[in-house]
Amino acid sequence: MNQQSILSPKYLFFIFLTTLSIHCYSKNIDGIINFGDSLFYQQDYDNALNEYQRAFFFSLPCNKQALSNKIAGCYIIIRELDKARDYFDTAFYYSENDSEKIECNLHKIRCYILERNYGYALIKLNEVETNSNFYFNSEKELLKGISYFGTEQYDKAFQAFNEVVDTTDTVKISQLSYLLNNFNKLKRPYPAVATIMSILVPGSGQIYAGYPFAGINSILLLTGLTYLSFQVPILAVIAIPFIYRYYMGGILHSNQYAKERKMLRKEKFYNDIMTIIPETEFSRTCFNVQGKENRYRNYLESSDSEIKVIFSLLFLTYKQFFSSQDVNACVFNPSCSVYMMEEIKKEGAFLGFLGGLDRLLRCHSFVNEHDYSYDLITEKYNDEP
Amino acid sequence: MMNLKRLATSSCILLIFTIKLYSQDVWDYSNSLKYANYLFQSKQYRFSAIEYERVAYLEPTDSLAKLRIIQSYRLMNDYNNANAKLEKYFPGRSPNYPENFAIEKVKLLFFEQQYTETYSFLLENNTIDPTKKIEYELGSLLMQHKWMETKILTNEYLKSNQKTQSIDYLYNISLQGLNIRYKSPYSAALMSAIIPGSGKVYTKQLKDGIYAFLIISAFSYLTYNSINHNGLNAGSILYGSIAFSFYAANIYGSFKSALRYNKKKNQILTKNIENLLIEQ
Repeated sequence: MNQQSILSPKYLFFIFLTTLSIHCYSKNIDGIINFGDSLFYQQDYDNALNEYQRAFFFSLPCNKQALSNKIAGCYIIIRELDKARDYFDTAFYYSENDSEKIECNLHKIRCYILERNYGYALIKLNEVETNSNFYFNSEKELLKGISYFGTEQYDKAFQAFNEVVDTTDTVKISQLSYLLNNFNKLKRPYPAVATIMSILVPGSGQIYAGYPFAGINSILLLTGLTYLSFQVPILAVIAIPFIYRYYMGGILHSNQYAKERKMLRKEKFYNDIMTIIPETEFSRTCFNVQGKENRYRNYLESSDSEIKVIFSLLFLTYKQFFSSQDVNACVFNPSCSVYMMEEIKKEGAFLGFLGGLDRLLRCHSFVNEHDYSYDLITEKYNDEP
Repeated sequence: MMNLKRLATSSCILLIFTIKLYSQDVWDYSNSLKYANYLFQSKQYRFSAIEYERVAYLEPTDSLAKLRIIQSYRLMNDYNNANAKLEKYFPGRSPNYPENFAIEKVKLLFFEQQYTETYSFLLENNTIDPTKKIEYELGSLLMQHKWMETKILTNEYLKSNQKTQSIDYLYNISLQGLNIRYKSPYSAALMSAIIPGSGKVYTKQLKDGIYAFLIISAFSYLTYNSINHNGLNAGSILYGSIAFSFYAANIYGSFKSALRYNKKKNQILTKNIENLLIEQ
């Protein structure tokens, strides 16, 4: 009798209604998430973010953890790392078990590493309890290795990387120890040595740092100006201050060049390590050194008259061979040469040239915050054309 | 048994309500509005504009959603789209949009720094509340630095109306504006042509003036010295050109310095007007 009553149409209808309500609800949210996923795979991250946020807003708490992770993933790709960290925090809040919580923490640490905040990443890594889980242990050691590598504690970095490599794989372990024996190369070129060399023989520091053209440029500029001062003594009044500036500039630049070269070596070395240990998309890209773009070419490309082309060429020559050797002397942002080019673009060649010269007359050490607003980031006074 | 049957029936009815409750469409009017409000409040204006578009499509009579669309575009600095939406919702009704939309139009014009257009729009408009309208009119005149016109308009208004706090504030600005002693760019240029650097001193840039005077004098002396000792040669021509270029640049610089001085004086007075009127 009881069996019959359970299978009766009334009860079946009851069960149908119960499942339908859940089905109707989840279908709606799932549709949004699927659409978000499809946008994500089409690399339309902004709109994917919008769909995920809508799903997050309407979804039940049980779905919010996964959605927070997806939103944070979008923010990482569009490099808004502070927001990504916030969403990993939200994901942590909605996590239902330890492994989800550990995953959120590790994601957050990845954000710190992408921000190159290695010290903080290491502090946070020490707080993470992996519960002896093999996957999390290995991830933690990998992140530790990257963070130590970032802070240039190479011996500790190699110790951590060793933990990631499979202990039975002797080939990989020997490759890693070979790299470990060569990590002293990462300390070279020494910035201090480059500086001392440039003090003793101008240009030699740049050549030592691996930038021979910059070194030759420095030597030619300084010898040329010195020769000119001796040949035409009356020009010495102008030449001597510039000799001093280019000499000091050479010393500062050689130090910077050495640091830059070290970074490039570090990136290459890191890529070598990543060929040995199991790499991820994150670990592959987190040490990419971004190349400099030559934004000053725009002035030449946008020149609409012969005189502007001449000014643009003079400006590019100045930037390439003179300004690159100079100390950071201008008190304003943008610098006087850029200001002159902007003025020429705006007011025409004649008035722009006069405006640029007037800016040179205003560029002195007595400028203060009363006259112009001060930018704490660039440490310069703002003076837009 | 009968009670059980009743319980089952009432449960079924309750479940139908749950379906209604749970299966509600997240794309429907009320949910879209809820989400759009969340986006607007969390300042994600790019997304809130799209979401309010959906709300306005689902409920074309919802004028608040339309207003929010325009506000979202304005707050993300997309003035063209904001103006286009305004024209789309009320074709040919400019300047007499409904009050909130007319105020939004005024704010848009303020954001675009089109103060003359703002004033003429307000003159033709008759939907905005008169007290608010006079505040915007005074604001647009002050932003054009028409101090005397502002004073006259305020006095005329106060003959038949009461003074509010905002009007008092704007009136005081006009009085302060009338007391500004502007520097003439032509006088500055002339002064620098006679004594290099004096135009800069006249525009209260003492350090720039002294520095320019020293540099121009130094190069002029070098030119004079060079010609005296060696006659006209490459060195003297170089020094002469530098001295003359700096001299000409200083005249032009003094002219611009006076303009900058006047602009700075105006800005000190008008810097709070936009905040006062737009954030109302």
